[in-house]
Amino acid sequence: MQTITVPFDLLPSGRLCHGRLCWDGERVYAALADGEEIFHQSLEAADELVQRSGYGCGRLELKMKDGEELSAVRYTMRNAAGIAEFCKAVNHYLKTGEVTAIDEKELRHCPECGRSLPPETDHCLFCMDSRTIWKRGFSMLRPLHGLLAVTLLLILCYDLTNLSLPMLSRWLLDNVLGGAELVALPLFSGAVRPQTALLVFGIVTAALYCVGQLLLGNSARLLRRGKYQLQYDLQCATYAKVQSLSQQSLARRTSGDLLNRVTRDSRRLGDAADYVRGFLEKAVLILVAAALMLVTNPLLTLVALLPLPFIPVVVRRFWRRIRQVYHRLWVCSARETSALHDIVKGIRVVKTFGAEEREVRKFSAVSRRLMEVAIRAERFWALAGPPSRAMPAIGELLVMALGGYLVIKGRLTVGELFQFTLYSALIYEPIRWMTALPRVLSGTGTSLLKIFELLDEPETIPAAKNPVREPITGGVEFEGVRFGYKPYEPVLKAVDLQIRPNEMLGLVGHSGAGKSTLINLVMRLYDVNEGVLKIGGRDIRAYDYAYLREHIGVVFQQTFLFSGTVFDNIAYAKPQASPAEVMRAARVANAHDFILRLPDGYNTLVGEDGHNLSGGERQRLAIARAVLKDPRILILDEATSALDPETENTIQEALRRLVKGRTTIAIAHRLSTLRHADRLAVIEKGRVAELGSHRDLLEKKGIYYDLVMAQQQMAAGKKGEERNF
Amino acid sequence: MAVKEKQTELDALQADFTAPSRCRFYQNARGFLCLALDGEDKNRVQLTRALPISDPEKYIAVTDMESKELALLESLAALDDAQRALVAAELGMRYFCPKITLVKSLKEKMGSYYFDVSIDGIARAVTVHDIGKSMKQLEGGRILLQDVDGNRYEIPDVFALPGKTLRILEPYLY
Repeated sequence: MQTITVPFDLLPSGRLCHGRLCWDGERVYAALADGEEIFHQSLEAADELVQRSGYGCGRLELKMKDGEELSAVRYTMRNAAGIAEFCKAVNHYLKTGEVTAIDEKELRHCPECGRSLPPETDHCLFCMDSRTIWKRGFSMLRPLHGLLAVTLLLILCYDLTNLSLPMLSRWLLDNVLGGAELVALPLFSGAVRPQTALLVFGIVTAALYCVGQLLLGNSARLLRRGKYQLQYDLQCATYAKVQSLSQQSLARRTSGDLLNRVTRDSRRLGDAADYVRGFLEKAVLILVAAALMLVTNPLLTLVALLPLPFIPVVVRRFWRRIRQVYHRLWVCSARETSALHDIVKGIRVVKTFGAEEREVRKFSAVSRRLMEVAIRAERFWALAGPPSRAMPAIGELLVMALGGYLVIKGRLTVGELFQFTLYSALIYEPIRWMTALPRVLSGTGTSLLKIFELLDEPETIPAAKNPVREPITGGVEFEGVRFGYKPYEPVLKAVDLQIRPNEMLGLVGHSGAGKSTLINLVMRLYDVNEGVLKIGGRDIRAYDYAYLREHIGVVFQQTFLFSGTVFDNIAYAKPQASPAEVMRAARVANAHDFILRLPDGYNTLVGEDGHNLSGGERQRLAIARAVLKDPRILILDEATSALDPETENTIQEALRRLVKGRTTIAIAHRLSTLRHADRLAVIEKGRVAELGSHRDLLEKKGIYYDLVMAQQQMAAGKKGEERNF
Repeated sequence: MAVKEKQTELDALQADFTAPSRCRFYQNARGFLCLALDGEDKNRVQLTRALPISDPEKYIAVTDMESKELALLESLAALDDAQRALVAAELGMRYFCPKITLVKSLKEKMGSYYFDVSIDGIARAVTVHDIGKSMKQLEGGRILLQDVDGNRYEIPDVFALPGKTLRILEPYLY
């Protein structure tokens, strides 16, 4: 076999190093860059490789069949994921004899520069050629090509009207105000009095201005239409993609990140369209103005444009610094907001502990820091602003100096000089605007990248090639199932468990034992790392994904209600359900009576802006949803844990009706709620530690017995306290 | 009676430091740290710092491999030299927060920050995502940095490092 190898980077002494951890099929060994082997061990007597995570580092150990443990290598967190992949491959081999490859993508390093990839992206932003992103970004504009062409034409016409104004001014100064008694009108034969010529100038200027504004307004209108179309398309595409992503992909991202990609990033791309229009407008303006200047006086043009190459250099340096200054300001401001948010949110705690003064002092310190940073930012702006703005002024000054000299010498008219100064102003202003463009483009580039990444995200839960849509009989079997959300931290370790059709199985165990993970696998929110999970005797991966979900119902501890009516929320499980069906489901869930007491019955609005329902009422709606769905497999995840005993009884009654004739997996910390379960499985450290009926497990006097005793003592203590009270 | 019981419960919850004389640390044949507590062999143990940032040499919890606490040491200084060396070596194995001796460059690309640093003369590339949250300035110029992989780095006193490092980091010190 080919040697499987991953990097490690820490010596036992705690010094950083460059080394490779290798497995050649017979032995595991670790070699430094110079070839020195610091660890080697045959796998003949090995049981498994284990990662022990520390803080900022980890240690790989080899567990032997006789229980002995050997320390293999140390590594920093940079290589933790790689070592996890290595463990997975070796352990799989030790258990099955099969050799599997390492998933390079899990290593999260750039294959080119070796740097770690930032979260939420699979691309190395350090090495990435931003041109590829832009190329793809521009390809998205293809449907808008026609619209962009018309916009460009309108902008060109606008620029021409804009540029004709200095020419008119020149004519006014040289011809109309020159002291002549009669003035020849361009494009017309004959001459008129200066007063008439001035009137004509006024009318033409006003007309050009109006036409110009009309052209500008329409170009903006057209481009905005394209912008909103683009935003709409992107938001629909990204939202659809988010909906189609697996839980595994979604769990890698925060809800804020997903919201940002669908809303902010799409919007930012749309906003970039405004900059595109600005760029086109200004680029055309610069080119045409420069051409007109060259035609009028090449020497003066060269002088006017002399400071031009220095502007991007100066302004970019200035922008870089101002960005840092304002980034710091932004962070301090965010800290102040966060501190304020904390205090306001926890005001009851603050008052209870009489800590008002302490909190005021704390907030003042954060606020003072913000003030200091803001003052420093303003000082920088005041000091660095004028020099950065001086460049265009230098250009204009040079034009005035040389132009004035040429006017005195009679080689240039006053009108031409005026025209020149107007053109230079027209050129310098857009250039200054353009120097800020890289900052905007950098943000747009990041948004583009994030959107493309989301759109390109592969499905981590792969669909079966020939998906099965056969009736699900309801039996659930775990065969040697291993699973971890992070590959180097297994949550389930070799779980073997058979749940019979129509059986109610209670899952009990300490927090973090792996109960919720088990049901996540049954819902196929994740796929197992090793082993097989079967439903109805068939590998869960063989089923059509949507079909499988149709046959699984869940009641969670916290019920999320969407903004809408009670009816809509129950019918969420079956949108085409008739009112009679919804009411029947509500009756089974013991929800019908309280719904009728609501002001608008089933039409009462609930959710974010609607009627507030109690925890018990929400749970009953969730049960009604599950009843309406009529699933073959029912999952109850702490469905009654947040309720008071009286409400719990009502809900238990509803649940008893619900579980009849279905395979049910129920998790509950309050063991009394599982008294109707056919069997109970005690999950301990990722394994099924005990399995049997309530009576069997009590007789066994194991973990379950201890849990029951602990809860009984707690209940007795509570009663005692109540009596004393 | 009930008051007395409550008092006993409260006493039991007091942070009770384990006298160093009750502990005897030793290494087993494979080099793993083990503990004998009051003469009873607890086999392999792991160490956890209660205050890893503010007081790393104090308040060390000794747990078994299932994270069940066996002892709580108030201070490393109270142990004799040989015992202290064993405990310190194990802490060194569990905690890794290298000290950055030089920041060569820092580049921002699309919202992520790429450091090229030197740690005891060894070059290391560090990727940081949200620099405002990942780089913390503590008192006395001490800086803690956490990268995207979860590695931690420390600059004990940024003002004592070569001027270039301070120049590079200064815009991000809040």
